[in-house]
Amino acid sequence: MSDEKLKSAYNAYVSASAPADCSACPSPEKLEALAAGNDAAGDSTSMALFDHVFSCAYCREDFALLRSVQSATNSTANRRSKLHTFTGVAAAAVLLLAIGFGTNKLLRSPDVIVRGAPDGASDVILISPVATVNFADVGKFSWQGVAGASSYELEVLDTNGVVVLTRVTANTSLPLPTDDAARVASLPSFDWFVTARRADGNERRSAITRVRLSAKPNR
Amino acid sequence: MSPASTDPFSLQLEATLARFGRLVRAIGARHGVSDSELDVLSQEIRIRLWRAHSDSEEISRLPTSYVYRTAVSAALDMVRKRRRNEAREPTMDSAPTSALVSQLSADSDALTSDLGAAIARELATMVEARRVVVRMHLSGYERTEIMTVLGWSDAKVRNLLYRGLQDLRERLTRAGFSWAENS
Repeated sequence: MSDEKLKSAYNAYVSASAPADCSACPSPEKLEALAAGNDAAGDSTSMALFDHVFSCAYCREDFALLRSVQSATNSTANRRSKLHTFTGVAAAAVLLLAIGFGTNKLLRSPDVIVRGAPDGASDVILISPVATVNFADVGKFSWQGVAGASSYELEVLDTNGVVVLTRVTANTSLPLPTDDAARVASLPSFDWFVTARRADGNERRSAITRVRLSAKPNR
Repeated sequence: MSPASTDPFSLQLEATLARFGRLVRAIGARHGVSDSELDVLSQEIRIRLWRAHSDSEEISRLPTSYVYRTAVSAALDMVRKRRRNEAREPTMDSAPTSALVSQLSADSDALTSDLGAAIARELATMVEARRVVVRMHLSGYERTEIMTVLGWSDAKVRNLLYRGLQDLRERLTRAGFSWAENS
């Protein structure tokens, strides 16, 4: 039985058995993290996600696009890195020259706006909760504001990347209603991030942050 | 298609996009990403750069890495849009060898369908690590890319893949599937 035969049959099967919708699929942000290799298969959660991605027609298609772009980006960065190794002295000289002229713009890109910071470099800074949270505080989310932002979208995901809730606010904090807080508190751990939207349609996003509940509710 | 232009801004942008596009196409082809998807992505990147940098001097100073970051975020937004499309259907291009399937006879189609279901069934009972590696391989990912994505060593991936494929073939044979070696 040839490898091509196996691939052909498997791929046809996956395409033919696509789910009705993507409600049980990992979020695009989670897929991006997987495609970037930021979420290597070190634990059972990541393994379960990878298992889903390569058995789901939609996720596999989405992952392929994200992975292709990431691979192209990484391979270019690697080539540039090697080139830089050989031209280290020249680069240092250029750097000094740039500093000498005070041309800060040579060193940094202009004040640009990127929708959905792709590499973990984020502009929305999450304040709370991070790392762990008490049950009583689970519904209190806050982050630093972004200049010009007209609204913020808070998204909470379970550790499989499935969206638990999405809320929009104009403020930099969001106390969840009791029902929503209870949904989040029912998870042992959750991920959350905030997308800042400007009036011109541009966006900036925070890093995805994982939070563990540190205490069970008192009954 | 964008109008031809000779100003330095456009030339530089187009050169960067063309270089990047060639790379993405080469990699994407292995995973069934269609040319039309990549055309949409290129256009989206172009539009974002134009919108964010109307000044030709400004864009001529943009580092290539910025263009690539824009590409990643544009790809992410494409995925978000697709998720919002309720009428979405998987494209046949998502299956790298779908063209082969479409050329098979009706009998072969049925056989392929049975085989696909059997593969899925047998994979479901495999150890998870082995299962994931085999799924990636069957989806068209090469060993080096599996290593990168999963963050595992070559030895680990090679071991899981070879044992996984061997296990799968044995299970399928036991389930009644057998072909000549050259099939």
